[in-house]
This record gives sequence, structure tokens and C-alpha cells, in this order.
Amino acid sequence: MVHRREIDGRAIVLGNQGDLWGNAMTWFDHDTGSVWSQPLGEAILGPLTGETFDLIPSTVLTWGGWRDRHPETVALDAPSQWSGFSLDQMAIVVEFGPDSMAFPVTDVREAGVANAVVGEVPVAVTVDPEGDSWTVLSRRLDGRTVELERNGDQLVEVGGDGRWDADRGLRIDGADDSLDLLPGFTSFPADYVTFFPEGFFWQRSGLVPAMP
Amino acid sequence: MEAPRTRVWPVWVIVALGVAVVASTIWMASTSQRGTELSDSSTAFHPDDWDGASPDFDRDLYNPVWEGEQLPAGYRPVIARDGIRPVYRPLFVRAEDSAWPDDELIIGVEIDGDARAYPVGFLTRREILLDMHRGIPTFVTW
Repeated sequence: MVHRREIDGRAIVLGNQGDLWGNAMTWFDHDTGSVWSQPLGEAILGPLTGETFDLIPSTVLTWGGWRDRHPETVALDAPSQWSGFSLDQMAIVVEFGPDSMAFPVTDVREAGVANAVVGEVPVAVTVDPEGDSWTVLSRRLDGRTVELERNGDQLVEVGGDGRWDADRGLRIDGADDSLDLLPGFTSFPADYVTFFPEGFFWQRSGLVPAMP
Repeated sequence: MEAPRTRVWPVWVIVALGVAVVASTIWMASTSQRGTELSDSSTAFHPDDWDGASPDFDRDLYNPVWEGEQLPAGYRPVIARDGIRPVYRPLFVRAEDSAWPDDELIIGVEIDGDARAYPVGFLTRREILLDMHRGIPTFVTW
């Protein structure tokens, strides 16, 4: 997850609280000592309780895939270490206010695109069918909502002529009406259920409540 | 019988040794601030020319757990604050200077054309990294 560590325009320095809540890490801020929950991005104890950090759009994929898409990228100066994780174990979570939805990577990869609405925001979640890249995009365009399907590296408007780059939402023909990138993050499905019990899992056949 | 002679070091040798000790102390302090987990690549830099965040915090800083605040259900104290030390001062290398294999899983962030990759395997061990990305204070966690 990537958050914007800022409150009222002021950068906040955080450390590792060293405690677990719902089996997920907690942070503390160096100013007030308040304790923050990682999955919620929210202070849950201390003077700043209720404050939240905004999510920044990010993705999880292989280094080779990222470098191909961003040749000018820089890499953290850190050694290679096997993570032991596969993206296929995870779900992509989209959260707006109290509403959230989890999109299992394998289901989205199979579908190409998941067209959904989260907190009244029409979103498209897409996973590269041959790689590990995923993206969350807005489906709002010029006051209307589009439905998308995946064709190779492109997203195509169902019933229209719009075509966009699936990684960044940029219009293929150079027109201005790009699809906005939206924040999302990866989570193991069990952790999603713990922190978002009121949420839903997206499946091609329909939505499934996180807590049946 | 002649008494054994006591060897006297020239002043310049003593001064040189003193300078060497001070210089090595400063160098060790600077590398430890970078975080010894990070490689000592001579090509490492920060795209924002950011010096990093201070890892220091007041050990008497308010801690809601110690102060007896009502903890939410399922909350478990485990280790001390920064028992797993975050990366407060990240540095980067260009893609061509990175030795990661292509299948290294990473978190990728792009802001205004500035793309950065953070390896998941490394973050599973350090958990938290503070960064400054095109002037935006960011916080990368796994």
C-alpha cells in the first residue's frame, strides 16, 4: 500500500508501532504517538483518532513488467529477496469512504476487466492476462459511464469506439478523454474480510458479501 | 649497560592517526544512517534530492497502549516501537544499475512521470518505507 503521509499540508513521520490489529501492522506518528491501522490508513488510538491518509495509486507486479512499461524508472537501492508471494493469491481492493469491494486477481484476469460500482463510483479493474500488472480506472467519461472490455493491452468501450491503454488509461488515438487512474491496493482475501466485513467480493457471476 | 630506548612517535603520525579515526567515525555514522540493509552502491541517489526523515523519536512519546486507552478487539501488542526498523532514508539506482531478477515482485508508483519500484521481498522484512516523491510525502508499506 502507498499512502500520502500528510495532514493539512504537513508531512507526517511514522514508525512501526510493533503491534498487530486484525493480524495487520500498526504505525505510530512521531508527533503525537497516535496508533494507525495499515489496512484502514486511519488513526485508531491516540490524539489523532479518526484522521486518515489518502491512498496513492500504485500497483504490484514483476520488476521486468514494470521496467518494460516504465523504462526510465528508478529502483530502490536494496538487495533482491524472494517475497514468497504471488499476485494470484491476492485481491485488488477498491475503497471509497465506507464502501469497498475486493476483486480476486484470478477472477479479474480471467474476465479481462471487472466493471463495477464502488461507493457510487463506476470503476474498471483490469489485470494483464499474460503478466502481473493491474490497474484501477474510473469509468466516468464526459458525464457518462462507459463499460469496458479488454483486448490485449487495450481497454475497449463496449458499444463505442473508445480505446485506452490498459496500464494508464490514456486514449490510444491521442484524444483528451483519458480514464482517470484510481487508488487500489492488494490484500489477501482473508485480511479483506477482517477489515472490511461490510464489503463485497466481485465475481463474474455477481457480488458476494465478505461476511455471508 | 645501556637502558632500552623508549620509542617516541613523531607528532605528524599522531595527528594523522587522529584524523583517520575521526574520518572513519563520521563515515560509519553516515552509512548507518542510510541503513546498513541498503547496498553501498556508489550510483545511489534520491530523485528529489531528499535527505530522508529522521528516525529519531522521543522515547517518552505518548503511547496509547501503555497509557491504558481502550484497545479495539483483536489488538495485540507484539514488539517495541521500531523493533522492525522502517527505512527512513531511501536511495535509488537507475534501472540499468539494479541487479534484481525480472521476476522480483515490486510495488510500482508513478507520479508525474517519475516511476519508482520498491521490492516486496525487501519490504516484507522492513515493512515500512518513507519517501518523498515529486514533493509528495509518501509511505510505502507491506
